[in-house]
Amino acid sequence: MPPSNDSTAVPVEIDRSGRYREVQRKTLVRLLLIYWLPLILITGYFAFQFNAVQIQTNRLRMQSIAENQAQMLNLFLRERVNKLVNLIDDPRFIIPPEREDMKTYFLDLQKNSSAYIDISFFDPSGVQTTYVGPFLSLQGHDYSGEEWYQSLKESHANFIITDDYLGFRQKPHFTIAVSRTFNTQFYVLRATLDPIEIYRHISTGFDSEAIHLSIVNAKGFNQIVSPQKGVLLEASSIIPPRNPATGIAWTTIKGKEIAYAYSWLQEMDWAIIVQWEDQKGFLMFIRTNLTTIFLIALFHLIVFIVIQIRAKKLVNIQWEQDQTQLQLQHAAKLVSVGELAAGIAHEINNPLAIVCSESGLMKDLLDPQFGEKPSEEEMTYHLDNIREAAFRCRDITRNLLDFVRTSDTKFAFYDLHAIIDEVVERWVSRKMALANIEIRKKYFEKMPPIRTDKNRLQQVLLNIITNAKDAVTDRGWITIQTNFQDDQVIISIADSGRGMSPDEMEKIFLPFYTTKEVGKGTGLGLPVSYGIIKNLGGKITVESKRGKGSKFTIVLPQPLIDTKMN
Amino acid sequence: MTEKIRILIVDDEVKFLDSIARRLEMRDFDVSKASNGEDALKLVRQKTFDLALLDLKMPGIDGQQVLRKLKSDHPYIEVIILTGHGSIDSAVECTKLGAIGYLPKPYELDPLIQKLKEAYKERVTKIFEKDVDRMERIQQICMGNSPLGILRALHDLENEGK
Repeated sequence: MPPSNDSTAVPVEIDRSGRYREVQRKTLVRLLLIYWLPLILITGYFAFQFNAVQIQTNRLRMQSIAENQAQMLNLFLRERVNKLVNLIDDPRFIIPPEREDMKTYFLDLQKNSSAYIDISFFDPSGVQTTYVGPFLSLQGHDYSGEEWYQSLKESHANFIITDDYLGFRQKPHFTIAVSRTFNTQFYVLRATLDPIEIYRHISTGFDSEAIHLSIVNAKGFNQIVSPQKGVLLEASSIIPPRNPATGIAWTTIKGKEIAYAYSWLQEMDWAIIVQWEDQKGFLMFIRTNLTTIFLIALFHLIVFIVIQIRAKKLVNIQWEQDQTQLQLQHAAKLVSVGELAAGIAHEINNPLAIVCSESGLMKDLLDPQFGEKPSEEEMTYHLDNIREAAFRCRDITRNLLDFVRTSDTKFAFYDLHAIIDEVVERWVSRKMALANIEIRKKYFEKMPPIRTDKNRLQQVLLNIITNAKDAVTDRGWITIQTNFQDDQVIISIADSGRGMSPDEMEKIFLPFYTTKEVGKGTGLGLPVSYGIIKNLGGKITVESKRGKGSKFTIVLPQPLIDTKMN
Repeated sequence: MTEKIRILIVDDEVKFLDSIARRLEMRDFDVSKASNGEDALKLVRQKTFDLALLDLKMPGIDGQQVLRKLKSDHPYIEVIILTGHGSIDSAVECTKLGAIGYLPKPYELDPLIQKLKEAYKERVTKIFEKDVDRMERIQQICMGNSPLGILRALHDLENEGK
């Protein structure tokens, strides 16, 4: 027995994977554009702004470092000068000083700063008479010809601070010298200082890796410099501008423009230069805003998840709506079948009325009570009318049967592949060869004999294969595949034809719907196939995509109970 | 029987029309045939009918329209619907419009004759009731009116029936 017809079942289930996945993908992309793009733009904008601010802040900081260090060095040098002036002007200072006293003074000075190398006293002739320090060979040297000595002698001021020079000792150092005129005689007290020690003094408290301090003189030679980064008395790559006396300037080193801060000292023609490395914008941004970035990433992740869920939900809603619509259409189809039946019944009633009326009349004519004597021609005329009416009835029922051939299904066991081959060989192979269409068979090897109605199944296969042939234009293929699993025979017929839009797909099982030319298709092939397969207890499903081809799948259950009954 | 019962049959199936007409003629009906609504209405204007057998689905003016027109112009014609396109809805609708009977095609003669009988009885009863009504009114008119007033009222009454 075929299973009873379930009127609420959906005949065509829409394939969720293809069209809906595309909808889901599109929705996702759209939502991402709405949420992510602004987020990324804003983040980028903030990173850029932050970077600019950071660079500006850095420059200001570097300038302030340059100014502070210049100030500090000013004070430092002035203090050194004052110490020496105080010493030589002290009434207790004996001229010329005793060597032991000089030693005491030197130790006193070194307590304040380790930058002192030595201290010495010069008599009016410019000879270094008393020397305390590591270069004892300099004792007794005549300095009257030295540049600094000459300058001090001619100067109005009572002190001088020199640039770095090598001097007699052939080692970079610089001199602070003070003079005193005593009994019209010109005496000089001087100390020499170590630039490396001064560098240590001014660079404490900085990360020397990131910030690079150096001092150049007016001619652009290194005066005080980090031992790792430069050589004393060598020409510096940077000569800061004179005006303004402090600020930010740019220079090009090895084709690369770099910014630096500088500040000229007040006491002398030295400039402090501060260089630093601007970190790359995003790296700095990330390093300084780790928490913010983590929060933004988290936010993005949440947004992404929400979008995913939302997109899925939208697609589900769409799917449900389509399913509902499909069920409604199915219901409408049932109604239309009902209307069709009513219409056919009414059509039959008219010729039937003629049959009854004519036969009744003939009976009356033969009835002696009316006294009629009908001629043979008259009786033949009425008989012809009856025949004609009967033929009218036959035509109507024949049409009806063609539409729903369910009246005489004959079940038996068959070789499915032989059934398919017969259809292909007998009806379609020639046409396919003419149209350059290749038929590919992918048969399931261990197919058991199946119980079905051979003629009906062949009718369905012919319908579907013919449709496939009409959809494939030229040099295409039709694949017929069989499978057997879970007590079900699965026959799928796929083609490389033009495919169908979702709209078309919804209508293909409705009677009288056709996409073929007028006269070429009746619009009954698929509805009839649908009716037959349903009557055989199976179902037909369809997957299709415009331009990609269509695939019809027939599933015929082969329950064991049916086998036993046979 | 001096005068036959006059019946109008309207149906677009000519073969059917001919055979049913013949059978009723053999049973002493005066039968007129019309194969569409226009012809039927034309015939009704030319001749007085007692009964009408009416199909519903016809090209041109359909059965319901013919029925409406018949009952409004000639209230004493009793109409029986004889159709193959029957439904309960159309039966109710036709009854509301004044049809006395509703028979499905194909018909059987005996029930049809039975229905025709009932319809004719209805028509006779209605006419009789109308006559009784008139008698009563004549009596009323004759009581307490001036001779001239009676004359005028009777004249009006006579014209009313035409």
